[in-house]
Amino acid sequence: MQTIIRSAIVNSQIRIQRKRLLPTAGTIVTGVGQKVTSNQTVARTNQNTRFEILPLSELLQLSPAEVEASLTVPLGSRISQGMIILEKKARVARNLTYESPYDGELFGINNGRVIIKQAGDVFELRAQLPGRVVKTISNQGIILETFGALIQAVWSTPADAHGPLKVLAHTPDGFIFPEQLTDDLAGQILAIGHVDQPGILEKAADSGIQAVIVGTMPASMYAHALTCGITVMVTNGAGIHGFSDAIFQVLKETDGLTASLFPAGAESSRPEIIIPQEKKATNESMSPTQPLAPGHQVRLLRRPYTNQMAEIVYIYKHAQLTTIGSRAHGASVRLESNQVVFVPFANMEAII
Amino acid sequence: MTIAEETPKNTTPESYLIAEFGSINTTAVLFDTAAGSYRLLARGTSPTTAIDPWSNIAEGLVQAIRQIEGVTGRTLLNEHQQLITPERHTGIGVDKFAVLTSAATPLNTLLVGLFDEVSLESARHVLHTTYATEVDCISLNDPRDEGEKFSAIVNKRPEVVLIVGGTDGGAEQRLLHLIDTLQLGINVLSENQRTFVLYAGNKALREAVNNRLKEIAHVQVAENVRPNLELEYLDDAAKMLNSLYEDVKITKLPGFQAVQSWAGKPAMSTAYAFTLITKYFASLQNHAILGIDIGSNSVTIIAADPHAVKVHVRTDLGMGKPLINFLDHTTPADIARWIPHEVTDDQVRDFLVYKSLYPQTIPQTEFELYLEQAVAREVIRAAMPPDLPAYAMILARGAVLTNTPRPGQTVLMLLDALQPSGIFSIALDKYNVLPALGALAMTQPTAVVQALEAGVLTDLGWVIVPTGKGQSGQSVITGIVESEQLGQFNLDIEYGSIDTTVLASGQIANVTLNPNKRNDIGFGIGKGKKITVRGGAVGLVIDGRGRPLMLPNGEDKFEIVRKWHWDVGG
Repeated sequence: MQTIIRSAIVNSQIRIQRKRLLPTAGTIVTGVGQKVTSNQTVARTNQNTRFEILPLSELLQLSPAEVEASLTVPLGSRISQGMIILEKKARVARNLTYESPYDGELFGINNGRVIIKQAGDVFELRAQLPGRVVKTISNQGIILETFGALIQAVWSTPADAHGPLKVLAHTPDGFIFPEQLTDDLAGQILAIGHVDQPGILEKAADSGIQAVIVGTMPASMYAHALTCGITVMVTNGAGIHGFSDAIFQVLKETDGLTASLFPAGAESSRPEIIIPQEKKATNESMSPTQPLAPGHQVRLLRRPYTNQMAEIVYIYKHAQLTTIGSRAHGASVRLESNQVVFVPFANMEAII
Repeated sequence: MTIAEETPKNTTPESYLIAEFGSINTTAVLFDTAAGSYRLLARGTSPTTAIDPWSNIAEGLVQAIRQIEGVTGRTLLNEHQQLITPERHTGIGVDKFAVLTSAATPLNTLLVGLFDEVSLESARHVLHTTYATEVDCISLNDPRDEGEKFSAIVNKRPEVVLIVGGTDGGAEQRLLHLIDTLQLGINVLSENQRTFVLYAGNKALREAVNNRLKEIAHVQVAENVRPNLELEYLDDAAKMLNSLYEDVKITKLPGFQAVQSWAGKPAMSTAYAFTLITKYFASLQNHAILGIDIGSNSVTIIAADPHAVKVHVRTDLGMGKPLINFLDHTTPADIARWIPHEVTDDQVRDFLVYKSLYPQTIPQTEFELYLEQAVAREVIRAAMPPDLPAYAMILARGAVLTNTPRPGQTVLMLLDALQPSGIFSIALDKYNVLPALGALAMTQPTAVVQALEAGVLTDLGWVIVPTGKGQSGQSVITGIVESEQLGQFNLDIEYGSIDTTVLASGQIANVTLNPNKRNDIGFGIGKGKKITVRGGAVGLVIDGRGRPLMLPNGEDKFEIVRKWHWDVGG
């Protein structure tokens, strides 16, 4: 019988396909096969569009049919403030006219009410990653392919980030003081084992740092992270454990290279750190959907083994008793200390 | 396959495989006749595989079915991993297959109505009957101008618009004006996808609403949720909203179409199936029943009696992802008060965030077990609708309640969270089958009775909770227990304590209860009665801590809370 468990990709050299999707339908401006740079726009759309409704039938005492017949510009036309958009000829008196009070587009007419669409914010979707477009998704975005390191994280603030990676932590759980954040770090993405002072995120934002990757941070820091003004990505969770060894290793290997940070969303259920590299032979890695087997590496997620790496030794067919007396399906795993312990499947993720 | 293997058997009742896709786990349960009665033969569980890297719910289901095959030795899937239906003469396959789910994201719903205090309040009650969230609300109380309302409709992209407002025969023009704005917005939305509109307002406006919206939206009409100011009628709108959840959301689950092709009937939401079985219990036992399902991404509380049912689904609460915002509903201190040792606010906060990031994880240490169970108490408290009626039985489900190391912990969690009073029993859905039984109850009610008689639920026992006050050490209730197995003995319960009498499953006891002059067990203050109770995994529990429950805050607070755990064997 096969066992599937949740997995996280932590790999320094693999082929990566990454969706880049617009928040709302828009226009794709790249084609399949095209090479793109990180800063290149691949698609664009309008966001936060504002609409104004002009009740012209009511304002001008015209029937809905008369309003529609008297429009001077066709639907979809660009209009500007002061421009006459309606004119009704009169036999005796002066013609009845109406000037648009807004700039925008004559968007629609419904039951004598005219809708003007004002320009929203233009959202430019950048590649944020050098690579080749392998697929376009109609009106929605593209799929990019690149090679390099991929780390799946667990939480992030909502914005993408892009910049050179600077690993400031000397150990997986290493931390820093605000004074260490100097202006020469501007534009970089910092990796720090754990952060437990809001001042560090504020100083990082003031210093022009692009983003901060942390292994863990206390729960109280999550709200600060959302308002500090820079991208913050957490790879391992809450607390002060820092990075798991596997993640810290990949970050150390790629220190100095350009990294891209993507929050979770329609493109991926987890936030991701991608660090493109020159294409070399890719690492042999198991498929994320491959069933669990002895020898596989897992990261343990709950006390007393939080954040420890382990190797699957034996997979039990039936539920086992845990140390607190509940029953759970799981496996015996070998910890780094060589100790073999039982861990429920629910409390481990395969590292691939 | 041989001809015999391919020939469907033609006997009744039919065998059923029912799959329930939760947001964390997928459970498959196999019901069939064995030893002359219908029963749960086996179940399998695997992670739900709706998100990447799988993005196909069938993957997890196949693993769950393979577990059943392993346990029963019965082949259910063919070489292409397709379910074999109907059951063959050789015993392979299964007659029927049904799908239940709570794994889809909630229905994004825009509310349109006249006033917050009346019709929109009823609309929100309708929303709480299924997995739905309010993305915006447009009403006469809304200070935004028409353009802003229109922009909100377009930018929020609701999947469903629920229109309420106006008593039958009441004012029409103000609601029609709101619908004019809505019409403009839906017109824009319809360029990409047709929106679903559920109208449950003034009957007189049905035609006008339909005429305005039918060309640009899928319009459905339900009975008015407020036919008059005094009456709230939710059933029809709730049923239709639930159908919309099933049509709009469940069918979008990745891999759903393949799984659905095995089933003859449309999928059902878990909340609806749980409602059906709770209602079924109420009719069967002719008593009021409280159903509680504390899931990862939602909490469902159902109050059913033989004549009516009230459903309350909260998609902003749960033991998984919603915990990241749970401190909007409670405080670390309120969570910590249930734990029998020191725990800091930061430990509580870290736990909430961590559990929301890894919702599938389970406690492996006593510390985290206490913490998780304390959180569950507060989640249930936050989800409880006001004015819950009295009930004779609690049906409890959800991993945090069913996977406890000791059953007394489940009883204590429910007593602390719900703070019920009176006399009632507790049944636990340890095997995660209640919604499946709800689905079965529609077509095979006898099979459900047989499955229940075969012990598909875990009886935890009976609980007696006097309401009233007292002083520590003072007797609140005395009584006599008479049982064939235990003989006869006296009870004397002190205020502030919990007493547990071991009464095993299947054992029956007659209990004569005499509350003191300041306490009531449901028959009036100071009035007692002789009752018959059945045993269970915990036994007979008498909770003498008083109502409302006063949590200790003195130096001995940890000792008292620890004693409560011990008292119920937790």
